[in-house]
Amino acid sequence: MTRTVVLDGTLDAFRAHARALIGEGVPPEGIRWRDPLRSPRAEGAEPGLFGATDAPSPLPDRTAAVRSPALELPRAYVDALPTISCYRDESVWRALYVVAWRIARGDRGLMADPLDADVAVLQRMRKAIGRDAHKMHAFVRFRRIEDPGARGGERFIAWYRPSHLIVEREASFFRGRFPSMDWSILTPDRCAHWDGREVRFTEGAPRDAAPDHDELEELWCTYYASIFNPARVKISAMVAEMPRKFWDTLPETKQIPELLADVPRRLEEMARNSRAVADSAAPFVPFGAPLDELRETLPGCEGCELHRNGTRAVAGEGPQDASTVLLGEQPGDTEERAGRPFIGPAGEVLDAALEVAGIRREALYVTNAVKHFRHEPAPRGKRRLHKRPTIEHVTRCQPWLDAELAAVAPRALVCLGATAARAVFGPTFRMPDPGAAPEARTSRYADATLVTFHPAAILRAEDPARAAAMRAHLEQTLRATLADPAATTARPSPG
Amino acid sequence: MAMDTADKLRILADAAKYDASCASSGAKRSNGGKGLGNATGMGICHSYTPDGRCVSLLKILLTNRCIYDCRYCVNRVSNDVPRAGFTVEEVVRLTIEFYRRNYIEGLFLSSGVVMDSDRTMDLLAEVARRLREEEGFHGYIHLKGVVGASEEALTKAGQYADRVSANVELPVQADLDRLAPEKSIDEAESAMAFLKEGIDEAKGRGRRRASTPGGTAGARRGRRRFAPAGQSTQMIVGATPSPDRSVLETADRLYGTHGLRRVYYTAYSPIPRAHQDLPTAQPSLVREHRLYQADWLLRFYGFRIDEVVTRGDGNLDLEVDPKMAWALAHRDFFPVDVNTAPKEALLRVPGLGTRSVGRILGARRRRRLREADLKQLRAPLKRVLPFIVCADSWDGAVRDLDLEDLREKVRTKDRQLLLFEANGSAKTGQV
Repeated sequence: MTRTVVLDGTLDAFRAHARALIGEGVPPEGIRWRDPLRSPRAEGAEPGLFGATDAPSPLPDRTAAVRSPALELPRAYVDALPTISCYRDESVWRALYVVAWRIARGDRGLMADPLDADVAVLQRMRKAIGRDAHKMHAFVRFRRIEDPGARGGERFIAWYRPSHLIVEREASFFRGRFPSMDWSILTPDRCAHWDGREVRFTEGAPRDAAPDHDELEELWCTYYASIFNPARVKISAMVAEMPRKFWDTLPETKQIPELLADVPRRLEEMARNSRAVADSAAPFVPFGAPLDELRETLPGCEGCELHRNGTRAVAGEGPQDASTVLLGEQPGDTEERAGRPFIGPAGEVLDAALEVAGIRREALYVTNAVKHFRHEPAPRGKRRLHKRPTIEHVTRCQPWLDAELAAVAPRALVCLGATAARAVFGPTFRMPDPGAAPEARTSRYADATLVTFHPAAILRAEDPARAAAMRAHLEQTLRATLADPAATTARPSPG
Repeated sequence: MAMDTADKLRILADAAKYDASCASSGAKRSNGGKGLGNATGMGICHSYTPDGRCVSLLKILLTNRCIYDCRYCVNRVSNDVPRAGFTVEEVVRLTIEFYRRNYIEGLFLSSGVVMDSDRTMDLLAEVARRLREEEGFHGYIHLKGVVGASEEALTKAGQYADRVSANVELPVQADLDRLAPEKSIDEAESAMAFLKEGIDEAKGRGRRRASTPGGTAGARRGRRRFAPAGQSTQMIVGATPSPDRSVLETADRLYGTHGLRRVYYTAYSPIPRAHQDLPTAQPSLVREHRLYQADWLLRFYGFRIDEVVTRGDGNLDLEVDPKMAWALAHRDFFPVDVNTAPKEALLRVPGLGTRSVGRILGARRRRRLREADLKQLRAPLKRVLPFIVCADSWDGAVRDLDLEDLREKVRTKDRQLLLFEANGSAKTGQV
């Protein structure tokens, strides 16, 4: 004769019945487990619709349980019990009873056998719960509302549909994570509410009990759309981890069809952009050419946007066999008009320093790190105001410098100012103190490379003492190039 | 939040996606019932994008402005892309507001180098400091360790972050010389060495404290932590001709010397407006996958580099996984008897991972395993069977192990770049 046990959905009721039934020696085939809360008919149905047959069976009296032989189940079973009992199907009770029965009959190691069919069923259930819990931790999305009764005047509310009966079990995760927020998680089964003191549980709630919008969702969707890489579309991997049944409450998934529809266009755009976009002067420089050819080609350069600013490129000046090169930043207003480097106010400072140092300018090759004049648009008739070129301009222009210095191959190179020094030593280079002695070091351009101040910086310096120190540093540095006697005289040209 | 935050987010999230790591695991951080957030040590993926990648952290750059000109990088100074920069406050707000809605596990903050390395590292660490000290945030924080930053700035980063990662970018110095002339592996490694010191020291301190009673919980927390989730690094593969062997040798050295938790390999992804020195074709995603497999074999399966790299050209076999490649080249090692072989031998069988091996060891205590049992344990039979014997193997059979075309039989059909999948969806609107 088959006995029917109707449970009220709680693990405690199952425990009490199971203990008594095992004590009585009732085999699994002799019991039909019923649980209206978990039966397929229960969802959405009115409670009490099925009448008396769904009334929970009375719990076996305690003395009966005490009289039955002590039922001590192994840890592996006891620990898994609370988790597995969240499974949303009444078959879970039979599955649990079968294994308990077999263990009680003497098979103590049963739980450790993954190949046993009954254990495999429990493990499948346990895994499903674990996955469901994990997805709940991940996919709950809170929406913020103003609530004067809540801490901080705000409350965070989520509506979520878990696959199994895990709300009560998983509330502790959210309590642990969001202690300082008042939050509610509403589900069709149960709702959990946290107010900073305790988690309360209430009856299930419909979706429209939760707010339908949050101001942050737009930013979140922006973020989601921006991190998607159209070159690596892998929809199957996405759906495997984020099944469609969850999409309903995930705001970011609304834009997925749109994002995918845009993939071909974005790939085409990427392909277009990856072809032949000049990102430096390199395609315009006749590398290995002598100085006069470089000078002729320079006006055609389109290596950066400065070629469109209405100025002309200013080439370097001086003999190809110069043994010293002076490197400045970029041409100024006067230089751009005349098309020659260092002839404006800064040029005068430089010339004066060269005279003090006893160096003829005609023996030097003088050029700039950036060949175009970057400036602020000036009011009509006024001088155009210098604007410091960025490291991007310097980097893009570098192929010209490479070609010039390859043609000249100087023994000494003097960088005038930070921009010039960074073109040679990299973007983190820091200027020396004006009081420091000139220091020659090796660079990829010249065995003796020195760094000093730009003449224009000397003009701009507000503190006269500092200006004097900078001027002295410039003069000393220029003089230091004389340490090599060849520096003042032109070398015999080869051949 | 204001509209311009959205514009910045668009630019600075897009620019951050070339960093592969999205891990939020490995750190346990509790909030003592106050503040916001925790880290459970497991890591949670809060969403997935259509490229199949997990969204766990708010992964953004503080700015994509950069003084460097690394050719493989979309943010290199010479590239003409829209630039933007967040304020420290904006990143703090975004992190907190996203976290409160359960969108993310925390923050992964990187940046282009502005001014200099030191200043950049300090700004990143300042975001972390404000999140921890002023916002009471206990979620996960991963900061990019800016190579070349001072020890002071790196220390600040380690104090507030769960993980710090200094990238080597390319496997050998010659590759860097070609594509990132301002970077050096030595410099990256000295940052790693410094971080390792901090991590080891904090761990030692934690152990000592745990064994001496009297230290308050408050003293254990806070300043005493240093990157509890350790450090990681990233290498780009396929941007230069360096073979997989160089990549793995560098990874192996970094694991050994600096105690890294992870090395990420990322197939060079053709970036918008790539530099002309770089390949324009998408390098094989399978290659990236094979490197991860090889990395795993080196760390968890007791393989050596010369065992995983079997090809003369120093590259991994793209057709079969590295364990299969080794097995095909060492057929005398097989067959392995699943009912008697030691764990180490089972781990050498293609298709059996640490988890299946664990299940086999558990199940065989109770019975002699047959082919059907292996199937129930979800071992991939097609790949496994040629290399094992089980209770119902028939001695007289012609063994697959001796077949010349075994390689053809066990080959998996890895699909390269599932573009057609995307195109299909684009047409139908179905996903």
